Amino acid sequence: MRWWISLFLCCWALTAQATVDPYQFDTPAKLARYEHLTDILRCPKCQDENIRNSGAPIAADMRAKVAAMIRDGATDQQVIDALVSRFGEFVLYKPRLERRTWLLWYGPFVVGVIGLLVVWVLAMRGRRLAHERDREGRLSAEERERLRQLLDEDSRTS
Amino acid sequence: MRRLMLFLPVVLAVILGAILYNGIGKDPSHLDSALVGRQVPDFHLPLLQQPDKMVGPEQLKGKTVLLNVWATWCPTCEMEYPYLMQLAKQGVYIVGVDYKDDPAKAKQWIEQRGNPYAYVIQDNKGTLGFDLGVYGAPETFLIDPKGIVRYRQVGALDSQAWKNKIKPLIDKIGQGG
Repeated sequence: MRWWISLFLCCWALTAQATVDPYQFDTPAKLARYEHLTDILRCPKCQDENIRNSGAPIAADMRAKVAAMIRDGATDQQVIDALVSRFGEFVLYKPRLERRTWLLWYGPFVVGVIGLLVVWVLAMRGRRLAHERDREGRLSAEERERLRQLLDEDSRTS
Repeated sequence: MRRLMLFLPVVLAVILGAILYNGIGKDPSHLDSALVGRQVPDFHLPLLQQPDKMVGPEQLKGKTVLLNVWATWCPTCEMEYPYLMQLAKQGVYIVGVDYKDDPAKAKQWIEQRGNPYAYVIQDNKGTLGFDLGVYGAPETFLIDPKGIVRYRQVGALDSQAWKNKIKPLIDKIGQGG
């Protein structure tokens, strides 16, 4: 049993090693930036992976580019721009906020507001109808008098 | 008016359906090139058949060029190759980029299968490919005489892409457009 567990752990360690590149940075901050950037950039080849976890050759090239640019002192924005200019905005998991993506960013809020408006209008209408029905149900003083007369007449004739 | 309001959900469903229907059949692996409308990126690389001669982007100017990124390790490139030969016979000016490849193998490949290329740029490390935004061979770029990328074909170049996309664009470029 123990042998099996150790074998299993060995396999697991090997696969985890597969996409870790030996990039060294002179400060931990740079390493953190490298890890953050490779997390938020998407691999164009294997479309549902970020470049940090992807085994595709192009993702390895992109990681190398990110590492080299960070070492050369580029800002996060410069690294992102360099990759977007080559591979397009597809590599951004989080699309940029611009006229073209307004629908994407604001669409859900607009739909939400429309929904709230519809609910509000329906609620107001419901309340008004209930109010009217309520008033219809109650009789005015004159009506009550008339009703009493009618009932009186009725009981006298029978 | 109230009756019309009852149809509102139907109208919304139809609009949503039309939008979603539009997305059916779109190939999600086909991404627009960030490069279309821009200059070919800078490079400085040797030619496959004359390794002592270095070329740069100025080499691509003055002519409408079909820049074909290929490699001997790429099965789709092999599939696409006969069509490239056919286009070359029709007089289309094709330049090859041998992408992340072994030059010896690439030369052998061309000797065996014929040469559709005016010349082949040797991109061993894939730096030009990277700058072109290539994420898998083959890819083909249409470059106008001013050196501006006009179209990008991801995957094999076939008669459909040629007739529907590339040929009309070449004709347009020929008329100065």
